[in-house]
Amino acid sequence: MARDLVCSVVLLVAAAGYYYLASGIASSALADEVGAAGLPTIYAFALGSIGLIMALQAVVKGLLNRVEVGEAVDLGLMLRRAGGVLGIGIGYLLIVSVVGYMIALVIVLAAMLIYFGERASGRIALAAIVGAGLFWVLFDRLLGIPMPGIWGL
Amino acid sequence: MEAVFQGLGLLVTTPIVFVAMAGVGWGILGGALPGISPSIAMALLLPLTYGMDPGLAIVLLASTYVGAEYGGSIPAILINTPGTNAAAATVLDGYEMQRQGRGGEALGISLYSGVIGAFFGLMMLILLSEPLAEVALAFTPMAYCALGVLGLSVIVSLSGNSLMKGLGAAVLGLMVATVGSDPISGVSRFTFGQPELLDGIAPIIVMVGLFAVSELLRQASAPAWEKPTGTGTQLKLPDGPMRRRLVKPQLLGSAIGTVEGVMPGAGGTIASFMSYNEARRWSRHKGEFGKGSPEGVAAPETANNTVASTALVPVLSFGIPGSNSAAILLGGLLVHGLLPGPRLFMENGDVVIGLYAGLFVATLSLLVLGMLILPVCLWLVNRPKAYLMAFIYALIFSGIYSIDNSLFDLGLVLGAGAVGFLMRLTGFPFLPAVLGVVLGYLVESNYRRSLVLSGGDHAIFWEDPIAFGLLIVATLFIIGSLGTRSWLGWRALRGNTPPESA
Repeated sequence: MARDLVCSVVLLVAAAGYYYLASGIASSALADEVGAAGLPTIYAFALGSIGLIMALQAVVKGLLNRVEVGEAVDLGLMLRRAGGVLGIGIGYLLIVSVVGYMIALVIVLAAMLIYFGERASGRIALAAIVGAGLFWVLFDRLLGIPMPGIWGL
Repeated sequence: MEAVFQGLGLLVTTPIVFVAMAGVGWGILGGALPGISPSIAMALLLPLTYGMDPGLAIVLLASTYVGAEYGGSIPAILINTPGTNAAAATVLDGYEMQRQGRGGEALGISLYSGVIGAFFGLMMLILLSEPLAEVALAFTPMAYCALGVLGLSVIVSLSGNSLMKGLGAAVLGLMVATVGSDPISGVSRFTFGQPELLDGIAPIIVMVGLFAVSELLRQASAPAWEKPTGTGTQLKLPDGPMRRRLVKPQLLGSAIGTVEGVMPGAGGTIASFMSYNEARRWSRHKGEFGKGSPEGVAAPETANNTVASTALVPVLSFGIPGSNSAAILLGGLLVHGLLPGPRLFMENGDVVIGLYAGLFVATLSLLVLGMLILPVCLWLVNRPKAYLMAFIYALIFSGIYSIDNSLFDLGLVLGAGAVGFLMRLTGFPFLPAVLGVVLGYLVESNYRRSLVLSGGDHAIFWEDPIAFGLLIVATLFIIGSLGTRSWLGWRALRGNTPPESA
């Protein structure tokens, strides 16, 4: 019940925030009858209604004692582990423009390998360098996509 | 018959065979790389075709399209990442099969169904091109809007155990589709002053985030590191009993792929989801869907490979591209001074017949090249998990950046991945959200265009026969799905059926 209640609150907050932003959409002389804010407003009300119904369902389930028994999980640990992978991704975004695609990718590959349980070693360094090199050859050289950094390096 | 001989002559006297095989090989590679959509794989080739013979250039582009539509299913099955938008439906059961150690079987079914779909699509392209194109031409904004509503109606039956969560996910997807310039007035919406958002958020970004990044996060957050799945997997083409079982979903996929292919704007994604849904509806093994059903792989793969050929019908006949890939093919025609329409068939008949012959070769070589490339993919996925996860992450970064040379897109993918991870934790299904993102713009823009035409009168939707028909089908579909859900829920309550099956 608690999980669904939290979800319904999140949906209600999202609906309210989206409605607030939709109400601030500028009007235009070219606008049609519905307007640029027309459907977004409907979507906001729809999401809000779904949030309310989910909250009611969660409460009714609780009153009827139909609580779903799930597998016991350490939510904090799960979020921390997932957060680590996201952190590596954000790190890539922060450094790629500075150090270039190749070096940033070597760092990401090595960091992911270590994060997923491989022991830091020369083998990891080699895999990261060779892997980044292959990606650079494929995307920057063969496909001709200008990767970030000087010459994509 | 004369055209057949002409086609055979072209196969012998020109390098069409090699060009078609090169296109398919390139397409499979492009489709298999998440972020490199069929349109990107084709666009990258476009500059190379400037100096080519027009007929060969068109064959190269069209073969790439065929290869890429199949290639998209490879990462969908192996690493839970649809290589193309149309392969998103294949993830559902394909990846489940992979997790159960049946990845080779799933890939075999995908290849077999893809080839059948591609052949069927080619047949439809040749036989029905003009009559079907007339139907597509008759589509008005009202009909397009109704088509989008029909696509969205699938959500009711794709919502898993909670209809409200499915609807909530769909509305979130529709909200994402409103980001960018307003389709009528051009006013910017929800862009927060970011120029990168003016063109909206591409569906592939949301899909890669929801499916691939969130899967990485799930793998990372697993209480115990999971062992790699599918070790020792061998490519396995379906045997006799399995082939018989796949006939029904393949027929459904072919039929839906044909209809959706000739409708501009519909495309492989809607065809895949609709055929998946219909395959489940008509299956004797409904309970297996979502848990590794072979039919759940066969139906969408047949559909999206059928679309790869049938989507060319409105391009060739009327110059109306139904998708990004079709638009690039149209660009290829125009670059060589070939104007689509009746004159193309009259004045450049050899190009059209060469295209048909090239697509025939492309479909045949799809089977051969698909079998050659798949073992390499199987080897890749059987590497230790840490390496697989690291290289998938690197591939996502590289592939997504290549779409628009934008680091902003990478940020969006990470954001979508975080949302997808939370959706996994809380039991929100992905597919309704993806459908909302894919169809949101189509529905909104055509709904409002229709009302502009009618001066705000909604009766215009009932007065348009195609729109009216599509809306009736959508309504019946929703009522049927709701009825089925209620009936299954009632049975579960009475204890006749385990709640999970409901």
